[in-house]
Amino acid sequence: MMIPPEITAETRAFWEAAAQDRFVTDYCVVCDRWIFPPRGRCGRCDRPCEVRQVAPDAVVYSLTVNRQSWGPEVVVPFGLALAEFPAAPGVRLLGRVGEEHLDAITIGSRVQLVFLTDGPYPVARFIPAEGTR
Amino acid sequence: MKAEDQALLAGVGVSKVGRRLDASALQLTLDAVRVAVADAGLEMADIDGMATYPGATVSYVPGFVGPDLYEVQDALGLDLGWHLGVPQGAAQIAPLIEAVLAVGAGLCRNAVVFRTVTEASGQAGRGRGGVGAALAEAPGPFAWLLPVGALSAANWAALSAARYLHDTGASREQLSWIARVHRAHAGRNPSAVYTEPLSFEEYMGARMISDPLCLYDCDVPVDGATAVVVSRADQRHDLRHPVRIEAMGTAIRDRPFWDQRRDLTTMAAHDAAAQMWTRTDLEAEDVDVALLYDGFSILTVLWLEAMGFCGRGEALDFVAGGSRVALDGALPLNPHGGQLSAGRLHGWGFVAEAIVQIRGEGAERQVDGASVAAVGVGGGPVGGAILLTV
Repeated sequence: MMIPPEITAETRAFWEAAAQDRFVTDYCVVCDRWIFPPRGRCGRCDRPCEVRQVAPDAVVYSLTVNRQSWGPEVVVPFGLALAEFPAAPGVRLLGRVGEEHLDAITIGSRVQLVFLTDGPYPVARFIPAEGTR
Repeated sequence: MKAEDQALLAGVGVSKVGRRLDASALQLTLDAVRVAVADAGLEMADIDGMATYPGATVSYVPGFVGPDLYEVQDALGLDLGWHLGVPQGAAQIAPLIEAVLAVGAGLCRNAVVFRTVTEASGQAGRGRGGVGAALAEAPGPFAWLLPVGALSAANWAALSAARYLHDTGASREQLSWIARVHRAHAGRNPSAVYTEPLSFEEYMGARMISDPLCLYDCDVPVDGATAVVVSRADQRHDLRHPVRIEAMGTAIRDRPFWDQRRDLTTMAAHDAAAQMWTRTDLEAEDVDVALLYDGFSILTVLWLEAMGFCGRGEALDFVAGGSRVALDGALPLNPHGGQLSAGRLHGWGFVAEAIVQIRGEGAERQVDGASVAAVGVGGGPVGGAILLTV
């Protein structure tokens, strides 16, 4: 069961970059703040945001291992990690953790974001910081 | 005069509740509404307001959305001065809180508010499905959850639970007390779905759903409807046995998403409960019975802290051993068994039980001298709180 994202005017840049394995989101140059999910303009100063690339280095904020198959074609188990990006304060993204990395990744682990781009839409995935693709 | 003082909870009605009932959402709703109106001591013709959660909207899970508000109005042949179906607000009790405001504002005198689920029938004999299975695309905040594979609220709540256990050093063994206490209470509730005791061994041996949550940390979908009549307080003498609304809380003061709230060991519940306490002179220690949402066990844990019954990070110590939250404990918790054991009426079982307890109608599960009930409904980015009294 794959449910693709609805792509909006504000999130199109994110999904197009993700398809090229890059993480971009909104950044306000006036307020020096990152905004995720992208909203197009800064909620503080109301100016249009720049779309900027976020460095893929992240730290796991929380992690669960999903073991229930919630629908057709859902292969379990797999990890789901919420990770934060030190280079972009306030940005937190949910991604998958492969079964082969569940022993190596826990809350507090340093991880790297990659996007799986071989499916119908890009899927965020976290791998151990020292790991390889 | 605060808004809460201008309205009363005059009546409550619950339809038949069960795993798979041979009754439509509309029929279940009509049953609950008729019981609630009669319970209030009113005639159907007295009802001039109607509200529901969520009303006609996107159904993320089969059986999640109850009947269309207007079909219920039409089936009952009602003239309405006020009506509302609300999918976004102070959790599933948003329409109840709105009804209090509408009655106070004079838009209607007696509003019936209902919540109906047919999620057990919606499973159609299959296992519990994911959120949004019927959707072609994941909209809005769901775009960051469903496409990644976080297809169930169990996953979203598990991320809170995992962080909570990490921060507090608590274990699944300690978390087990929520499910075990609720099951023990359900044993005294003849309309609960699961009434047999749940042992520690059964809990620890249960299959995991989304670590650290196991099967018994997840509520049980049912078919059923709940209705409550909200009446203007100046009718007190025409009502059979109304319950007072002491305070309400609707606040959400942080990022309103399951994944984005800065501290996932807190929820919108913390904001709603804090606001509720600003609207009363009563304090947490005055509460006789707590009705706290348990769509997942961790949500009850967080509600205990949100309501201030214990400090941050202390809830699993608070419930350890079960005695403090037993029916004869310092803070009886969910005497009906919660959604984990009595069934997922999606927040409204807690409202109904609070009314039952304050009236002293709890029979085998009645909490002695229950005159103040705290109700907390919702999880993650939705929360609504009400404090009810005699």
